[in-house]
Amino acid sequence: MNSFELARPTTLAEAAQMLAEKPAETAALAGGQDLLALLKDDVLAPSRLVNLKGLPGLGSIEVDRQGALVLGALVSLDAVASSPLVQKGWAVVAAAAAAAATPQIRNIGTVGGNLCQQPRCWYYRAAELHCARKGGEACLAVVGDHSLHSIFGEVGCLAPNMSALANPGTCLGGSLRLHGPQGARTVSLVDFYAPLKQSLATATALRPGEFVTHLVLPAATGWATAHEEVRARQSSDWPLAMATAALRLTGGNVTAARLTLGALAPLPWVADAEVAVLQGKRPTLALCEQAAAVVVGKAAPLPLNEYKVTITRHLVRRVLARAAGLGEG
Amino acid sequence: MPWPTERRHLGQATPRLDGAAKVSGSAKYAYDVNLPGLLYAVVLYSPHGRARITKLNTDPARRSPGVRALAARRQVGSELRYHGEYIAAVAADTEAQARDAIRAIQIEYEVLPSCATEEAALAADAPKLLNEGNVSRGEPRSRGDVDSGLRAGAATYENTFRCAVMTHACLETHGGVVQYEDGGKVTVWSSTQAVAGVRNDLARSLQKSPADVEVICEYMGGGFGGKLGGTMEESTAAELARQAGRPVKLLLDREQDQTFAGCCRSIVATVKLAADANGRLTGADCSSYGTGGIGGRGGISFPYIYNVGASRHQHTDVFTNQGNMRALRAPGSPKSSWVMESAMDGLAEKLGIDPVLFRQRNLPQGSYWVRQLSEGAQRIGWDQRPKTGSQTGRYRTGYGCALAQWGGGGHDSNARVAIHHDGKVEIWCATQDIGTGSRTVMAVVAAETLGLNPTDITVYVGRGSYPPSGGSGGSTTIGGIAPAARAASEAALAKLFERIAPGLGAAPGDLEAYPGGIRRKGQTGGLSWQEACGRLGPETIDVTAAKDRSLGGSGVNGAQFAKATVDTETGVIKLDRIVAIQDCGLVVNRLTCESQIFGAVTMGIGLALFEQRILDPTSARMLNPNLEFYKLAGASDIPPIEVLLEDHPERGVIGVGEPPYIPTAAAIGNAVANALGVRVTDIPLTPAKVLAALAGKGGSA
Repeated sequence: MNSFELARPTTLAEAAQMLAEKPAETAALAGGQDLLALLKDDVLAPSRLVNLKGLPGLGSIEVDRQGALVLGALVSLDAVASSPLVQKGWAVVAAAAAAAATPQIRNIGTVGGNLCQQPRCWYYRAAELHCARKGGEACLAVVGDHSLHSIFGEVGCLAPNMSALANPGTCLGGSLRLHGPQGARTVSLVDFYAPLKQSLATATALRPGEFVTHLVLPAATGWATAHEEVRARQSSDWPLAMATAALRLTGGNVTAARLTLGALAPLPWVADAEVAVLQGKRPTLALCEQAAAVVVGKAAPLPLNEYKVTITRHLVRRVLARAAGLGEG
Repeated sequence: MPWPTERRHLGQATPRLDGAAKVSGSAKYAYDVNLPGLLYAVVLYSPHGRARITKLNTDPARRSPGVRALAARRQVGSELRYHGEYIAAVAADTEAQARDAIRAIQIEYEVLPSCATEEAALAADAPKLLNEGNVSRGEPRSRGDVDSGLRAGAATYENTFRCAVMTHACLETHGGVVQYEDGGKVTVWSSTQAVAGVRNDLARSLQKSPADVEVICEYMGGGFGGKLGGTMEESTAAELARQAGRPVKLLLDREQDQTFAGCCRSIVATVKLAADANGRLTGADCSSYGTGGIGGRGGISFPYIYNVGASRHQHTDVFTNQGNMRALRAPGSPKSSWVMESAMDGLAEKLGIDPVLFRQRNLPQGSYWVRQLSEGAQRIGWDQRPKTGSQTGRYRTGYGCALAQWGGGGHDSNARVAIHHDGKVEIWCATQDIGTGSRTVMAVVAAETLGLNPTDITVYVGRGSYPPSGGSGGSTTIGGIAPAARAASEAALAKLFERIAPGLGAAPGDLEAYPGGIRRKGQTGGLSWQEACGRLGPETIDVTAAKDRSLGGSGVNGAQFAKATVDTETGVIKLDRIVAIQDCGLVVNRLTCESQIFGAVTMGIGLALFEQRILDPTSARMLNPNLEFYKLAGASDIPPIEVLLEDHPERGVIGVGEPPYIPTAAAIGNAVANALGVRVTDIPLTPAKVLAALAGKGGSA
């Protein structure tokens, strides 16, 4: 671990300024559950950490006047999971937060940190290895062991996005409030992760000096939702697959269908177009199964992660069926 | 004196004497030892599976702030053969300074072609990893006419079973603290399973007398066979401490612990079994290979515990670019059980005979196993076992069983007992508590012998200079220390009788200890223990005795049954129940004995479902040298474990640390095969393998 300066801003503007001075050598620190491990393993070596924990207004769970849920970036995962407000109106978000990591990590890890975590890949996280995500020539997982890696979304890196909150957040049409040297702005979660498709050097839409201040989830009224993750070990493990489904049902027919997958692509994988086969129809198990087949039809697995296609096909059918009120699917 | 027939403490449930110290944090492990002037050592190790050092300049590290010593273990030109191999170590005032110094070392490597798998090392065009080649082919061992035996069967079964390389994954990594004392003596606080053995090994490597080396291990955070010797950490720390003239702490980081500090060999075994129509084995053939790293050797035992007239086995060791194996809890036996017990179930299925019955027909008549199988079957609800392959739903439940055999006879051991005039009793032994409860079992034995309670006894273990005892390997500890505690306690009691008998107008032989005191044999009332000891005056009784060999035995048996439910949509296996039947001679302390079985079964679940060293196929670099992706079974993965502990006092004390680890994975594998109607032949049974087997790829009947 390199020596670093720990900067402790007390205002949003100060934080943005401190982050913007030497953006390439600066990292934002919140719960530190991902960042500190990366520093200890010499994967990242910033010369300055900007501790966001002293910033005001980032630690609360609120519902705004439009009925949207506003989660401060410093709210812990445990607080999200155990909030009656979240459980009642955004149950899939509470469920996803409750399933993440371990109790200790959920107590310390934050909303912002969960959304901004670095790639979960054993090649990326080995300091000695120079993979594509770190500017190297190739994704080492392609010819190596990719058993836990992505089956969707060819971007030249197989490391899957493991954010527990990004998965249901994207499905529910969530957005992020960012703060930077030019002030505040809002981007959708989809747009937040989209730059990765253009360049592996830009994992998110964060501009120099910017940081996440809030996750905003519109009121989910009228949406029937379901979330599930599959993991090999039941006591704390990274998921093999995550899925959130949201259906709008009118008179028993599907009028809108959304599906987002996690742990299966380098960014939250939006499969709304694939589940459009449900549109205008009365949902049945067979229809859910059909939609699932369309979803995994887009998968491009490699030999060691082909099994994830099977897991995903069943998982998608189950979350769609549960959202549609068809039981456990 | 034999073990008493009326037992007050032996076989009862005595809580650990050091339980409070452990849960309160007052128990000090090697890592907790902090001395004035302590330096922290950090190791530079190979990041590559195979490479040659082309440049090595340690000067920047020597000049780095806070650095007090540096020890190079490899030079320019050295070939590094595995990820984690020692290159150099530095000691500095702080851990951060030592890490900075390691990063300041200028080193360059020529990365060489490597072999991450047995198949890669066996390939015709494989790079030659060792001068003697990549393969060591063992002599075939056979008895009887195997080919005729196999032909004579009414049914035969053939399959290839695999098991991955796993690591010990101790929560406390390997290493310790070394301090040179005035006068040249050396004190080592080591995380070790063998204080006496490490003392001798270290004395040899430091060219000192064992008398001038003390090895201390008060508590340890797991060894599982990986900490029986191999004192690289301690000898490196000693070199650094000698250079610096200050004490040095060297404990491996997790990555090096997972890559360098031992593993358990893999196995790939092709088995063929045949049995006649009555379900009696007529022939058994096995051809196996496996890797225990760059130099490890050892296979499996075959045909394991079964009576087969004609059998043959040939094993080949394959060398690969990974850190070497060390003993790991019942070395080879869990894999022997996995291979043979899986094949036994496969053949039972073909014969249409119940697997329990099939086993009973091929075991020595009257053996413990025959009875244990019947008891276990009843306890798990074997009559609920579905017909294999009959289920079609998402969740499918199956039942399986497997057997275990182990020796567990005690090693040589001595103990010293002191009785003071205030009634206090102390006992010393150069054993160690690797988590099994050594202090408590010695206290139980001494208390039983002296008519006291275990909490009345103060036990000192974990120093190499105490009365000699053995390393804690092979489940040999309790069979050493319990009889030694008995012998020394008896000798001390005899001395006490000698000293107080005249004052009582009795002969020493007339006296006996009873609960809480000393009396004339057959009489009620006597002196309380305090009164009796009060007559000793200042001259403490202090005797050392060797164990009485007649108090120990050897040879234990076990049967385990698993009930498991497989989610056929995810490939995830959920265990519903495990029943573990185990004998181990005389049970000394029921609590610590059962605790061994719970721990062993938990580790067996890890073997069955999760644990494997994953190497990059190209570079042979370990990809999961952590506890994040090297997965151990956690609380939510452990089902109710029911222990049926058999007490056989007449057989004496026998160790139980290893045997309950042996059959768990095989029992789980058989339960999964029963549930699915397809056998997953490769442990750990990951979702990927389960789904592949269900899809007709990689599994078999």
